[in-house]
Amino acid sequence: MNGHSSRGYFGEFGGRFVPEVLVEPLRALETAMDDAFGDPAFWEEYRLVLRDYVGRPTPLTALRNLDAESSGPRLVLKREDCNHTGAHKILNALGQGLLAKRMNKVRLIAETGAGQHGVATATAGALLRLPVEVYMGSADMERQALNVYLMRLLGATVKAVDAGARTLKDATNEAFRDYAATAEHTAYVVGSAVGAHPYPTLVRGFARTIGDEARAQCLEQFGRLPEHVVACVGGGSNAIGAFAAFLEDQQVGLWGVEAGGVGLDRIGDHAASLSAGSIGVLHGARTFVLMDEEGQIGATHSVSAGLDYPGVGPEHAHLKSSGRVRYGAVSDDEALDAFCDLARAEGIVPALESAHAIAFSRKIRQKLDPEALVLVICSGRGDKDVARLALGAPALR
Amino acid sequence: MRPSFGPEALVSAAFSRCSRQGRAAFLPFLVAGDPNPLVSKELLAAVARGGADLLELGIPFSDPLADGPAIASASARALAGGMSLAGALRLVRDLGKRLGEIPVLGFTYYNVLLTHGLESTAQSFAACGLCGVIVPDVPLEESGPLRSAFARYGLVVPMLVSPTTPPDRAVRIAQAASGFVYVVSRAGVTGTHAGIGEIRAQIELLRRATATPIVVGFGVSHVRAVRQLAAQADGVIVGSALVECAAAARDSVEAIEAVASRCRELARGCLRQPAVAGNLAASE
Repeated sequence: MNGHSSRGYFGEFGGRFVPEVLVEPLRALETAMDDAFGDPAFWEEYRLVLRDYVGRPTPLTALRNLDAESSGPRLVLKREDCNHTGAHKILNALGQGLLAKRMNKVRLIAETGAGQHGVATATAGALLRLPVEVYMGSADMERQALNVYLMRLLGATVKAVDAGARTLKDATNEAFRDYAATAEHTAYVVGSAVGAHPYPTLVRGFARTIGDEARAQCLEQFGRLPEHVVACVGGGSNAIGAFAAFLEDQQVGLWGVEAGGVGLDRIGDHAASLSAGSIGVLHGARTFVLMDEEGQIGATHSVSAGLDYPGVGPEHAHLKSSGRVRYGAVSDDEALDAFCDLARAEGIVPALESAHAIAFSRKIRQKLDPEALVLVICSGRGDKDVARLALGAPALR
Repeated sequence: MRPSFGPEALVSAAFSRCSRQGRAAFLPFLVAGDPNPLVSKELLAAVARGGADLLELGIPFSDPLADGPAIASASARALAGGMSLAGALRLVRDLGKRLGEIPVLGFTYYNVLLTHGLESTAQSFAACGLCGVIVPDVPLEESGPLRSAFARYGLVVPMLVSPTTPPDRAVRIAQAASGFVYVVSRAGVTGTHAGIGEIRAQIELLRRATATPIVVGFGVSHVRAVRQLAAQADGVIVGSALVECAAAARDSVEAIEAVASRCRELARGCLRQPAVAGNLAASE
């Protein structure tokens, strides 16, 4: 712990850079979080919902066929694609939904990019009987029409955001503005481990189910800890959830994989904030940000909508700076290859986000001891991506 | 020792002058570079002619979290037209005498300042004749580096108090603020709004805690609201309504005239009615 920790800092990253109107609501959320996190009854309620509704624990699957012809260790997947609603996002949405209930909030709002977090929040709202409004960039609504339909089917209202590039960043701005005016009765369910304190800590608290389960499963199924853990990083919630369980295990190598898009040289071609960004303040936290020399937040690109974000969770910024986690990027094409190869070799269709982690693991595995245990987080399933890929952009091999 | 003509003294003198004249200060807000640098310059000159006592100049940021649609769109237009921090400062410098003695404060987001460096931004502000900066995404706990960098150049950093701010915190914010305390009139973001929340109690609390002028903003659009607030506060900020007024005009000539005339109307609204002037605890 350092001197900053009480204000929600991870080293020099994080903090609470928000308009004054949000300071008190976030303080109230922080108090409620501390109270809930220290209450075994809260965790028991959460655990039962995860077991009986989400279907946890998710399996740990040792891959049989992928890259079997080449040297290097086999990959072991943590199957977050097996969650109810198809991705790890439900862990966070249900956790924050239960907390909202505990705080007597009567309405949930959320931002969403690909729609996965929106669907997860809509699901939590349906289960917990809380009305849900989801902010979504109108460009994303066109790209992810299926998820828009799903959210509406689940009873949520989807609010189109026409500002800026009409994607995740713009939806986040709108959700913040809504919260600024409605925090008294509304809970803002932030979709990743980003934003002002206490959100990075709150989201990690629920996402670490991934790492805690996987760690126990490695010990049980393989009798040891993995040598390496690999996860994709957009905002970074599945990754921080996975890493949280292994941070103290110094012998475990941790790898975060960002969206390299079509190249890291130019702003607008990728979404690799840690690999190619600089330190700034975005959405309430000091972290690595993609921006121009004037401090204006830059455009991003990734084939995977869920990684298409110009910032990153502040704890990742700290873990990069401290050297505990190494971060790399893979391109759209590498991710698409992994997406197709995993489907054909193993019968598992990963989310394009998760395909980044798989692609990166394939790149490093040849340099590793063949006996090494490489744990790769498959953060979600690829059904949501299939419609778009089937429509022809870009073509499958 | 600050020179008597320094930025802080200029700001304070503007409030004193208004107070002597029996009115609240009128603080119009416009975004630098909206809709383009040329017209923006004329709009700023128009608000100066229209009776501005102080001027709040938005330096556009791509992700203005504290702002509603009117100012967010204005910022997007300004950025599309190539406006930057340096460009905004140049506007102020170029306007020079056309702004008269009106103190100009920048309004921007922290990432813009951090990217250019707090120290060197403060230095450029002072060099171009700006008097201070308002940064809506820097709350009290994070404000130390900002306030000390700007204070080194004699510049003011007003701080915001919102309807959700508890009394003890409001007092601490008021004590940390320089130039004026910016009381946000309602929960939410900037934007035109029909009514004004009940802020009398908060203003009275702040009066007891500080001698710094108290200015109200966010959601003030009609002269009726200005009159109501002028009776309670030392100044009134109008932003979105002016931005919308300019954006709604058919051409730039009409926009400049419309903004000037709207300002004259709002500035008249700042004149306190004799009946309520007696209730005032002036800041002097």
